[in-house]
Amino acid sequence: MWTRRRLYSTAKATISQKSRYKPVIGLEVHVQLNTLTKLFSRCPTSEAPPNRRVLPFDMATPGILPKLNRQCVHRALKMARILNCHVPEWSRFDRKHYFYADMPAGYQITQNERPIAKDGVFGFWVFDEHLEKAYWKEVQILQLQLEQDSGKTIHLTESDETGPPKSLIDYNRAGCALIEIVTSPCFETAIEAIRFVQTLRLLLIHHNLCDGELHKGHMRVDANVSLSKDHVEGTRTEIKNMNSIRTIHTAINFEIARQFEILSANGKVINETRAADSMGRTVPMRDKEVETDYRFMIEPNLPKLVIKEEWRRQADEELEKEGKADFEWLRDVIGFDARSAVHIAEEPELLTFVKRCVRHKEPAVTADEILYWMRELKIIMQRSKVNYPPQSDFFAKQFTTLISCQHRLTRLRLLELLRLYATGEYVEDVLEFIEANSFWRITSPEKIDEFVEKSMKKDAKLAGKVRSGHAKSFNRMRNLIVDGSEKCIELEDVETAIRRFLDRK
Amino acid sequence: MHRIEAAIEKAVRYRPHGIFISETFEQARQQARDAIERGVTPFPVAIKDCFLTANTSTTCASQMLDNYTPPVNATIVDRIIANGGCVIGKTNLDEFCMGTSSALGHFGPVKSAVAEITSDDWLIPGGSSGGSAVAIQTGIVDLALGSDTGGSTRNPAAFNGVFGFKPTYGVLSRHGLIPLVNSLDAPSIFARSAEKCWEFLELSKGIDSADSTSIDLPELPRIETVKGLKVGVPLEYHNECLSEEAWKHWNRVVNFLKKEGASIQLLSLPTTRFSLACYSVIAAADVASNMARYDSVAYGHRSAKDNNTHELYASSRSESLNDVVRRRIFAGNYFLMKQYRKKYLEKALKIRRIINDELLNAFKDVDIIVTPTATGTAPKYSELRGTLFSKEDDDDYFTQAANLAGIPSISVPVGACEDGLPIGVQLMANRLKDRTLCDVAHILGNR
Repeated sequence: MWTRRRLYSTAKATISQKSRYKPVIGLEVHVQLNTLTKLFSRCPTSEAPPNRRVLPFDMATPGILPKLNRQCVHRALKMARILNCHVPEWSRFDRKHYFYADMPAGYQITQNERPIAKDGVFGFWVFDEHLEKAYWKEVQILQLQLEQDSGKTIHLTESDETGPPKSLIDYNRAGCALIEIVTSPCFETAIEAIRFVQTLRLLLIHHNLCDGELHKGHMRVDANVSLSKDHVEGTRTEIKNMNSIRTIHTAINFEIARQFEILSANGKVINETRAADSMGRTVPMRDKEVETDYRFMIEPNLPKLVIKEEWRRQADEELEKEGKADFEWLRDVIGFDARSAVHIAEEPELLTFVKRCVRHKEPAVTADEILYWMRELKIIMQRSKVNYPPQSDFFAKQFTTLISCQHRLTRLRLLELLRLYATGEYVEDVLEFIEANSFWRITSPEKIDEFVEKSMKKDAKLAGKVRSGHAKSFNRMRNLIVDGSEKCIELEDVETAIRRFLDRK
Repeated sequence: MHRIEAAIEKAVRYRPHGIFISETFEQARQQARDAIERGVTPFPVAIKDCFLTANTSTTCASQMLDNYTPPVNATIVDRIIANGGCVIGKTNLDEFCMGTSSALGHFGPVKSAVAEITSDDWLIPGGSSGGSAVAIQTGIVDLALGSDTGGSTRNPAAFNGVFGFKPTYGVLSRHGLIPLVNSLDAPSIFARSAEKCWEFLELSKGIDSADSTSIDLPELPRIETVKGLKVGVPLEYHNECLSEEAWKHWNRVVNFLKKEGASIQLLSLPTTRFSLACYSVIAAADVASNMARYDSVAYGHRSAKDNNTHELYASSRSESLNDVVRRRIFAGNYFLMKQYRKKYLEKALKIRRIINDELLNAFKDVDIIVTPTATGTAPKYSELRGTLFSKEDDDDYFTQAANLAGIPSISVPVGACEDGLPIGVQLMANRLKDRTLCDVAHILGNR
């Protein structure tokens, strides 16, 4: 519990000194490409038991040479276009050396000095419940580099089954294709960082570049965090390997608070690598005070990667064909606000429902109206303990029909119809159902007066109390009348009519 | 079939020379039967033990790979076998191809068969492909595969009086060749005639989809005479290390070519004298990188000292790699360090470019360049040990430039010296002129 208290106190302090300390955040996003085979070998990437996806190259068999997978280049070119990067005529591969048990060659083939794409700009909306208004943010993309993934090390502790503690290595992932996206340190808040990752994720999935499941490691994020004081750069730390949006958010905020606490006590932040634990706290990973020298060297077994004009065209044409991502379409074409557009696009069932609604709806029905009634629908369904959103296309059609008719129905009638259709097994078109039961809203004052007169006469005792000005009785009488009309008269209309009735007598 | 049995018999007879690290007689017999079935004439071959052979150990003469059996064949091994080659055995070499004496490998030295061997001294066969050279010289096999990074085929060819041919970089696939220096390595051919060298090149050349640096060799017409051929003689190859005998034979060859109608031009290749320094830096960097994979995790020698991962790496490597290899790894890591890369590696790469340009420029004026292959004849082991193997570097001087420029080069046996030991002369041609090179070597060999 102590952490939460500490976070709270520092958060308050941050606000009071906001003008002096400014968080500076840069991201490195490792995107696992969803190609069928690995980056430099023809080994399939499909899921399999440990060490069943390993060809000689993947385990660094001496003498076996890398062979670049054309599909990885194609995906990189598409990604470059999405992030508005410049693609130089040629790029090159480098070896980055370090010893790690799950990196079999003793080096990773990556692109250091001559990446496949660089100098990009990527814009996205930043929104949050604590923000008054969503805003548009543009970040600089420094480079996109094609590189190999590592294998995985599994540490076993001592047990009866497996004996003494040991480390096992699974090379299935070794050599899979990654694109590392490096941004400039231009994020100022954790919210900006996660909106970037969320937006990026939706685009990568839409354009078939990455499967986008963060918990499976398809996207892994490193964040460089520092606090600048009065525009003077601070020492940065690096949070490695975050694989959920939530972790990115809490870990960056934790790190900002931690550094602020150190700095405001006149301490020194040390340049180090940290990991985020399950609570989103950052903990030191390894000593980075002695900077690792990766001893970069040009990969001699691969010629320069010269980008053909035809490849660029193919990438462009494919992007064109794939069109806008769902969240962009919802936002730019249908008119949803940025936050809802992303939220809907992130939930497959919700997205299906909304797409159906959009298909069925009258042109006049707006995105805001759909959102408003979706909220009402959600409450109704939760109360009735049925799963939201509804799965059927039929329901979506009735739902949008009802929205189109919202001004010809009373609010209560509409909610009631929603409840009936969302929980029952109605197959009748909702318009026919309304017609058959005469559920249209009654607006004619004469008609409403009739209902009022009838009820006031019927329950003389209650009517007396109403006359004497008893407020509760007034409301009871009003509700009786609404119910008597099968909820076809709007509450306010009844109230006006009762008052009219009282004035007349 | 008879030829294969004869080869096996000879291989057994020459066992004291340490030619083979592993003998693969049964496989050779099987390959011969398979070849006959396919209607291909079988012939015996020897493969340097730095080419991967599936189901047969591949050691690079190192304790590190003592028990290593690769999962696949090198492309070139596959191609040779498909054309009738029957692998008699994997030949001995300097550990991981580092050296020119074939004397310090984990499985013992290769001893030349050109002179008698005594209990504690022998004639050095040259290296690093010493085993393959001796396998040809003794007549065990018709084709021996070597590798050549700075002269590792041409040098032992000269010392053993056989032909050693390093083709243009990329003409023979490197897929399955355990690398020394990736941008200099060339699978190379030992044979007893230049014609055979060419023949073996033809059956194993061509683009290999597994090697992105492989290239096709364009067809060239065969030349029957050197009449009208422009032959360059570079002055800088006459240096202080060159022996009187070597100089004499070099001269003799040039005179012969002149007599046959070639025009002789003196050339200057001033940057060649930096080739050794340039090579040392580039090679060390690649070695450090290429050797990083020998961490004993997935394969290779594993030390018993395994308290933690880094101790395991360090002791496995220290225990199983010899001094030469470890020194180069050490130097290479130094050259690759952030603060030294610019100072050494990048400079060496620039010098390489100059050496390359200088050679290619020379080929605007001449068709062939003739030089000695080594400083002289093969030394004795005792002599070499006495100089702490520094003579190795003197010999490298003549051969390295061809690797730095990726051009084809062949060592041609041109006779014997007064002591009866064979000596070779080196021919170089422009990139992709491998055909012309072999033709001139053939004329020279038949003189």
